[in-house]
Amino acid sequence: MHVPMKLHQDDRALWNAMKAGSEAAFATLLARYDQRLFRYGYSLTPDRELIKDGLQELFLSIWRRRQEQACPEKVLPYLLSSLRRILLRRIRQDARRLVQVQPLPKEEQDEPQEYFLIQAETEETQRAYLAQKIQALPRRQREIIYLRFYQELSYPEIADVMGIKQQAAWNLLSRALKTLKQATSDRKYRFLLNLLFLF
Amino acid sequence: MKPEMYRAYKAADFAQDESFFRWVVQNETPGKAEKDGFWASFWLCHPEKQEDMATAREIILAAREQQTRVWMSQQEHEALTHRILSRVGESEGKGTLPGWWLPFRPSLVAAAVAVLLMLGVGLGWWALRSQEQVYATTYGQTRTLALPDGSKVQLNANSRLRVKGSWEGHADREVWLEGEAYFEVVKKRSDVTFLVHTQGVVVKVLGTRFNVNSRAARTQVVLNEGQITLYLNRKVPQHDEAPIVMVPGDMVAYTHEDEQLVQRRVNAAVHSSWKEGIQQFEKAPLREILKKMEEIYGVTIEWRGEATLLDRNITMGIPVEDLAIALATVEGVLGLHLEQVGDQAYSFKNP
Repeated sequence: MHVPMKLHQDDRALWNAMKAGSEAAFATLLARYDQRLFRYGYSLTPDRELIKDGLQELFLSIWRRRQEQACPEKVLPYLLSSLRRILLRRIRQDARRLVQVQPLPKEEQDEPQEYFLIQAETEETQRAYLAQKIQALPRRQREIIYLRFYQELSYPEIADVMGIKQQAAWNLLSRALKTLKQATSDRKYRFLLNLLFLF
Repeated sequence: MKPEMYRAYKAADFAQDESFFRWVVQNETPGKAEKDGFWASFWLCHPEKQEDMATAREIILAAREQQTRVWMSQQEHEALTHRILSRVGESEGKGTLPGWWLPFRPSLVAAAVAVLLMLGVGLGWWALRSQEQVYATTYGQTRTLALPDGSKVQLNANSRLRVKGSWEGHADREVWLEGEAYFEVVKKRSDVTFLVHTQGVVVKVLGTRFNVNSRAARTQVVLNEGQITLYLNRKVPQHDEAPIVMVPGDMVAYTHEDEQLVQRRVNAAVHSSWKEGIQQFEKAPLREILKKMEEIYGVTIEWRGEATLLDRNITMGIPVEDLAIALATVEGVLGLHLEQVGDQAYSFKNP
């Protein structure tokens, strides 16, 4: 999942081929990154149609502007930050347009039963629990978690994509991690409490 | 690397450390973890740090796993690729500003801005009038929506609902459905109707609860409560055809291609049971159950057993948001052999 150096060079080769007019190179870039970009988009909005429209806008503008635009140093961070700009703009527009129809919030999930907790306190359930907590983070904290741990961007790259200073990126990630850390210890505590009740 | 520095680390610090992160990612698969190297020996030498390291590792892996659960379905992916690539050929020369635009002449720009402003106001008004919302679910996902009039819609997996207009005043409330949904329509004044358009039929509603399932070949409507009228979308419109009036417990199925109409009395609750998370079947032929799973999960399910078993009637329930459990349920309850035969393809056969 990590983008090794070789892939960066590959990307640049593809980009330059695209600049020279190769539709095949363009299609390869698209196929290489669209799922990955879709995942990132999903941390900004759960609206799949919106993300897909954003991807279309992004790639078509790259193709149309291929002649005047220089090949970015690293293609993935460039794509991520462009998609981010497009999606945030579209989300803002939608917020103005979307007046009446609001999806109902999903009903609150019940806390797991004691016996279930004890039986299934495995790494898997711990991970699912953490995944839930990541989903529940404020948008920017969730975003940075994915940029760092899934897209594997460096701090300078994250700062670039999110349009903040490196130090701010570091602090934002710290805050997100502390929340998650807190969630795991709360859960351990509850788990122990449940054990105590059992005996 | 300086081990002394790491001794002061807490879980969050580990997670933020580049070399720790690399180590976790490289040893993502359990059992394959490297036995030596800096972090492996640090782990062994500092048992007091193990909990923090484990927590950091969990957070990193949870984030990665969470992301891999998000993806465009094969169908979405193909549609998007097609949408983009089909426009690549035709867009030659467009999108770049012509040369005469470049030396910005202030007077020209001001005039342009004025024109654009006027256009913008007009467009905004037009957009308000024709606003359209699309709600969609992907495979193995359901969703609950509130419509502008307070009516409630639950969308089953692999479905799309289009809602047009602001529904103010006397306008008809209209929605377009591809896939399956359960409607709870609130009653308005008697002259304001609620219409559900599908490929096969138009459902006209006053205030009521009902389930519509409209897939490629067939539309099926089941009425739970109230009263609805059904108009068939015939290929050749027949204006003198009387609409079908349905009462609770009625099921109407209409095939789009050969325009076959089937009307039956059913247990309506069973047909809309998916909205509670489990699709129930009551004496349904196995063929129908497998078909339904294909619809909900977007997979292909092949039957490689005895052909006669496909017509056997079965009473069971399958979850609508978890393919693995759904497959395991059919396998277990019916005692079949399950095999994965492709990326999104499975087969069942009897032993």
